[in-house]
Amino acid sequence: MARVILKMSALPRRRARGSIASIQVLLYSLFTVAFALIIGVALLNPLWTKYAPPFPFPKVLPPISAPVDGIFYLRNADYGYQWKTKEPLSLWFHPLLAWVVSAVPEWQPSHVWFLTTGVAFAVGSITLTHRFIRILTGSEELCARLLPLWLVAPGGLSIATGNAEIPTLFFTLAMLISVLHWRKWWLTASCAALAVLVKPNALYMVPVLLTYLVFGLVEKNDKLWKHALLGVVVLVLTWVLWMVVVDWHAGRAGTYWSVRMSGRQYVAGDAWSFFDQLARSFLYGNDVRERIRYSTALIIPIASLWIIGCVRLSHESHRYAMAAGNLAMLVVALYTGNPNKIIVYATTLPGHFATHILVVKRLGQSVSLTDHPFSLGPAAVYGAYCASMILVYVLGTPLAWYY
Amino acid sequence: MKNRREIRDWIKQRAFGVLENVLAHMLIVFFTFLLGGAYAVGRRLGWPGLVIGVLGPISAGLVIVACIGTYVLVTRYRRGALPKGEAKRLLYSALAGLVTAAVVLAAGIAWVAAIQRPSTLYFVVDATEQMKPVFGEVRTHIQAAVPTTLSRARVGLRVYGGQVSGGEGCRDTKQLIEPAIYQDLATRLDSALSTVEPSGYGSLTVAVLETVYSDLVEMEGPVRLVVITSGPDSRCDPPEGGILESRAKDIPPSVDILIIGIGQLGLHDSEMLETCARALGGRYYGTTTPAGLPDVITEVSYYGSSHLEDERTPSP
Repeated sequence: MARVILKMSALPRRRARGSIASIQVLLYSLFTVAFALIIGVALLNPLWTKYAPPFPFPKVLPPISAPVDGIFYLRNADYGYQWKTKEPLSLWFHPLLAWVVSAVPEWQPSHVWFLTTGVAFAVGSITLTHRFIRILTGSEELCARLLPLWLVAPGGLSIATGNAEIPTLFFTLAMLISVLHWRKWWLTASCAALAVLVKPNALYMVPVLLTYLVFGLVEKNDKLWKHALLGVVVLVLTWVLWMVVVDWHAGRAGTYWSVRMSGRQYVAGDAWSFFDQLARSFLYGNDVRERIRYSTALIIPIASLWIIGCVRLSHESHRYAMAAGNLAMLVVALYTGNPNKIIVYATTLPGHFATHILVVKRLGQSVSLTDHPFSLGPAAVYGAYCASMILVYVLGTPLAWYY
Repeated sequence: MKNRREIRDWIKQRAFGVLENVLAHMLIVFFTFLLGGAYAVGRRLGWPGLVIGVLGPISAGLVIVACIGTYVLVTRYRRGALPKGEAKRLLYSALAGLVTAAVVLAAGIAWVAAIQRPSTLYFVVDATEQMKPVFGEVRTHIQAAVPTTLSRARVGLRVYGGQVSGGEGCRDTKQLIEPAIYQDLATRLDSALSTVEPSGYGSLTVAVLETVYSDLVEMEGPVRLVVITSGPDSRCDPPEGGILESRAKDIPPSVDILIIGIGQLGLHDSEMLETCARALGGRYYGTTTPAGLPDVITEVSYYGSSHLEDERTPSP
């Protein structure tokens, strides 16, 4: 009886601790995004205003509101999809963000709404990443003060801009957490559908979910494999449905695919040409853009593969699942011979920022706990990798180094 | 009883000794087999002997080590000496290593293959009388573009018109610079083009086909063929009766043809050049002045002609 009373009296204290922890996570998420916005306004905006790609590419001002492909989402929001002309730069992009921006009140211009939407999803993504890390490590405690480390991850500064990758990440994270922990059918299905309606990169989650499906079947975890299967089915079905919608509106079957394939003329086009182009850009060319584009498309997934291997996880299924998503991104890039935007596509993978934070935490612990000079080695290497990717993102966005 | 046990142990010992010997010999045979395979692949790709001699044993050795490592891990796991979680982590590391090795190997093979087969940038320049107003500028801009584009590529030059070959009319064409890697490229281009005085008439399509079927016939690696003209000569181009299409059908896919029209070409002339480009399996690009040449040449040399947009077409 005494034990029961003790347990019950501990409940409100635990709940209070949990609420305080949640508020802390939210506050640090807001702080991270606010800090990112300060960097965006003070550094990125003037830099991106001054420089432009070495080919004609439309720009929105201020540039942090809709860099790179953001302009095409805004055009779809303002003018609608160009079904009649089958304009590739309209039909390439999935509809959810365009719908959101076109539905909001007009007292702000659409590019400001695009930035606001990106920022809002960034706060949610950081909060969900904290939750995801707790699931990965099986630990109830993860210091919220680690969350600002998000900004030094490859592509982390994208939360200071309007973009479609962070909203995709938000929905893929929510879907994955539902599959692994919350186990709500409606949440898994809706987040899967919304993720792929933001960007087709959500399809990288198919191998992730298939990995969990296999582990669920092997370990006889019915809820896990059923939710994973639901996620896969909804992702694929929603994608197919959108393809049908595009073809129907454009008046010709296969329009979606032909528009996507038309983009291959601007890149290597297949795996062998990818490596050939990589080699020739170093051997025969002087173009920094080509060298960075093709080499980062390989470096980032390979580095991520090893980073995933370095972190301590509560169950090995998480490791294989994250690696599956990462490899899917690499395989698609090689198969299509397309090195573009891997640095931002990687941010749509739920494990990208989670493993980054865990690795930095682990490196920090190993450096502080040991006096051995070589303990600095891995930290220095990882620091150099993050610094170089930040440089690629900051300079590469206006100069088109990665697209 | 004791003797029978001793005999049994002696036989077991000998048998294991023989088995180990056989396994060791099989490993040597396997290694040799792999080495032979690596050698055959390297020869097929045309690699120099030194590269095969280094890469062959390394790749064969890595395969052997991977096999032995897998065997040791599996036997340890089956004996219970390796916990399940640790085994899964080691398996993950092995998979990550395999993917990394595959990517590095593919990049290395592409690197060696690219060294063996350098890119070629070949110019076909119109030297007919209609080029008189712009020939000097074209000469200046080609020289300015080339040294900064492909630092170790082969560069060649052919002209048509200008009575360069001593012949007349549509067959008047001549190669001035053989495609090769030159240290003094700017000087060569300058001296070659300075010998040409735009005059007479000639055929763009004859010059291109002559380039492809005789100048470039032994060239391996990607070829960017850039034709610079201020307009077609209707006396020669395009040939009628499907002759051009039938002659052009054997142009290798590795030859990327771009016809650049310079100046304010009329609609009819632009369409004729587009027709010639299409028949040759290439593209047409218009630029209003020769000053646009360096950017176009740089773009084509890196990415090929498919990246170009006509500057007079509005961007999406």
